[in-house]
Amino acid sequence: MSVAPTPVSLLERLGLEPNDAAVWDRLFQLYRPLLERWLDRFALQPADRDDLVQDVLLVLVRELPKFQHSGRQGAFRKWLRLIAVHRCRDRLRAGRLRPITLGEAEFARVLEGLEEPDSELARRWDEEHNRHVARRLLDLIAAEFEPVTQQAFRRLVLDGSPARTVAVELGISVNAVYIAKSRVLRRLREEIRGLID
Amino acid sequence: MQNATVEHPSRAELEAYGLGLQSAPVAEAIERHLTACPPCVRVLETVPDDLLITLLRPPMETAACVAPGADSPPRAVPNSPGAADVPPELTVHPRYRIRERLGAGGMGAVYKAEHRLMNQVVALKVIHRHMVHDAQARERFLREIKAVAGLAHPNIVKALDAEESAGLLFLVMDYVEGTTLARLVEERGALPVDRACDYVRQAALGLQHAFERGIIHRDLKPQNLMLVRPADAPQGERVLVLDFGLARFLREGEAALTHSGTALGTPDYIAPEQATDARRADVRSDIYSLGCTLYFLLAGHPPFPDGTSVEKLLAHLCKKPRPLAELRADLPPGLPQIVERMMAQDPAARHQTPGDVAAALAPFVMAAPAVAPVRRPRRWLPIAAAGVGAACVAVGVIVACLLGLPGGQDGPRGGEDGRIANKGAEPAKEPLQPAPPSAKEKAPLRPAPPPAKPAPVGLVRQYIGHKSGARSVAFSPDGKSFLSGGFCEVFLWDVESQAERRRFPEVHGWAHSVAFSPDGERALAGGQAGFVKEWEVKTGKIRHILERRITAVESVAFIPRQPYWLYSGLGGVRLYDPEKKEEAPRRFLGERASLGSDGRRLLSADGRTLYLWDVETGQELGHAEHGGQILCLALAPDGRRAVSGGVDIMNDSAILYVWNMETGKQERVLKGHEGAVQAVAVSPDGRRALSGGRDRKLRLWDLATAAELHCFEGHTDAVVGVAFSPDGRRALSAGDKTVRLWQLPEPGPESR
Repeated sequence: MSVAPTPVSLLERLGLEPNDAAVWDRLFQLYRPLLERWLDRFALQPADRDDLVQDVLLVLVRELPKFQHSGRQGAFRKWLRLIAVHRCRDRLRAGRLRPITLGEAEFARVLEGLEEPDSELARRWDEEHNRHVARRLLDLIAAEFEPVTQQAFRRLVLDGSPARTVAVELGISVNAVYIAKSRVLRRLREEIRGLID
Repeated sequence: MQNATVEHPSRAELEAYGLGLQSAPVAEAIERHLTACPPCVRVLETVPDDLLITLLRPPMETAACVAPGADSPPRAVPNSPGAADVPPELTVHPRYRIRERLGAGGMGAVYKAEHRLMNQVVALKVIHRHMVHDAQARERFLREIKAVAGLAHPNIVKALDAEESAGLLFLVMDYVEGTTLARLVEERGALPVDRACDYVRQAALGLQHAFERGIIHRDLKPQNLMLVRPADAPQGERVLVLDFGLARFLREGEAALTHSGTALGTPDYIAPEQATDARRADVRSDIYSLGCTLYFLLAGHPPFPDGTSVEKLLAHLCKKPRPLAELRADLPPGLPQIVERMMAQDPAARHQTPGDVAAALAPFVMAAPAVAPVRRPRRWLPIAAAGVGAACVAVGVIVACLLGLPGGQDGPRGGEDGRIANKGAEPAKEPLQPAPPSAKEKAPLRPAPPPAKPAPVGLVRQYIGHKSGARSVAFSPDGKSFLSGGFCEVFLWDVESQAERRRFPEVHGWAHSVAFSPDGERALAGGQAGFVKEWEVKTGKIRHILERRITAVESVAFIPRQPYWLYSGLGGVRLYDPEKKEEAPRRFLGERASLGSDGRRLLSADGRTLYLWDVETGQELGHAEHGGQILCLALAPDGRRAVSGGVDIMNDSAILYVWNMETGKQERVLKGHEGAVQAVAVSPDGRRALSGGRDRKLRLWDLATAAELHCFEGHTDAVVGVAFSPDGRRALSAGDKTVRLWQLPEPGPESR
């Protein structure tokens, strides 16, 4: 009996093929919007923000091969959160970051809150990370499926429509709707492994 | 493996497949099986959602804890079978018999139960197993709850017991019936100042009691404050604080909780120091949360209403909320400063104990104590006696009102307005005919002569076009067309042809109120986004705009023969001259308003008080306390009577009163509606009234006898706008997405 090779996640592919530009590209597509959204909240100068996002992504490229998932819940996103906090601090210290609306003391307080593992701020931040990563990865893998499969998944899982309704809308069987759900979820789980757990 | 799935996959295998957790070969085998096995497909329908699916869905806003009693679970749990079932361990509990499920939240479910021996009704809060997973945490939970059970205060829901039984942790507390402050505001909007201060002061008294015993709340919010009418003071309102000491355990269990797919509540009331480090919470964090709660009660929304959870936390950390004084104009001096101080960033800058807060708020609570509001007799109090109303009632010094209306001069003006309309009305798309002869209107004391052939009573036609709902209606003075307001929509309809003649531009949010000018040439609308706009009916062009952008405009009207519009909202009733772009110096109390047809008398209402004013001088002619919340009111065109409708929020029952404006007394109670009454109108002859409400019915009343003359059914949602035609023979009602025209029964020979 032959064992099928375990498919690898985005994170694992980065470890196996550290020079594959396409894989890095996907990671950037995944994380750049999230980092931008986070940093926009600090109302930085636009140039500062872009520099900072670039900074964090560079640290990811440099350090990721060394990153070992500790197996603890949320290890990756915590790591990422801390990278972002540290890069902000470094630049703040070097006078290369000028928050527009936030005072320095307030900014420092926010960074402290993000660093504190059990703070409300860190938990909400993580929750937002998880939502973003799940939704964005879904978009990124969607193209691997037939349009009707994509639609069935969206209507059933994202919109919460009853399977029968979806089946009638798309002219497929109820059975096919559930098959679509299972296949897309399986592929998404594969790709997301290590990022949110 | 493959053989097993050809038989029938087990439920566990199917669940794993449904969630995409099976390996490829097993998944393929199950897919082959499913094609020929409908029963297994049905099993897939019941697979509960897991974390990944929850993350993909838009975030659901859910309260972390649900009050026992009123608030039902806000959250539907898709695809999770048996969520509403009572855990089997509880059905056989030796001491408690479960009666019904009251709600569910992040922490667990709440049931109404009965002590089997003591005949006592209690609320049982069952904590999710995964919330308190290890023995140590359970131990601490039970210890903390025992401490909370030691609290005894009129403003705290009493915790009676906590126990671990058959692997379930549950908390037993007093069963109280009432409504949470969150729901109260959701239903009726921001509260009058004195009530908001009273409620928060009561909560502070409860917090002070706990604080003196070393207990802080940590999750104070309007959802955790319950408004009840206590048995020992049936006329009063009491605020009870719920869920003391639970927040800490909620937090500990959260990793597990998040994993189970339950969304976190919205952080609208959390103190900044709690946001960055939970260990820094102390009683002053509760004071911050209480400050946010007071803000919510006064503004109708939390201090930072916009954005995601993270953005809200950042706002608590770095921002000041929009000043309350910008949101409403009736705040007494000193109150905004108290809210600001409670919400100070630095805990050291806040009030230091809940007792300090209670003392600071005391002056803003009405002189009458919370448990003895003036509810009866419902009479106009002469203005001089207003401040000491209760005392005056007690010694019988009521001077019945000052409002005698000389029958002839100040009488009905419907006919006159009609004539003005005829003279001035210009044809729009088709020529408007002169209004029907209005002899009847000129002589409202006599019943109208019956028409040659009475039209059948009931629905004449409906007008369909509003996308989100129809909210307000107004007939043109000639009765040939009408305005209707909806969400971002104000339409002009032709009554007979059913045609939508015009759609007025630039309406934002709900149009709560619409009106015609007495000559029928101009249309006015006001609404949710705080605007008042005037259009030319003939062309649809905007003539004037007043954008307050502060609070919703509830009522609008043209003042006959004067340059003013009238508009009202939380900031009171105001007069505005659109040509000069200035407000009249006189203002009137009241959130909603109704004008007599001569434009001299104004009836307004503010929460639970009705006021009568002289429009010209701005003088208050009298006021009366009203039972329950006033949601709608109408002054008869001749000013002799008024009708007010609303809801008794304690038991959600209808309130509909007829007032005699000459004596200032409540004259009749109109009984029939179930649930809130949301719209009323008085007929042009002042003899009949229409009312509509949450029960989806439109009712016609005889004001002199309080008899219900007819009940019109057909709306599929609450009836929220009503109007009589100028001849009083027909009615319009707005509700669901339609406006409906009804033929009313001809007036009989009822006495006036």
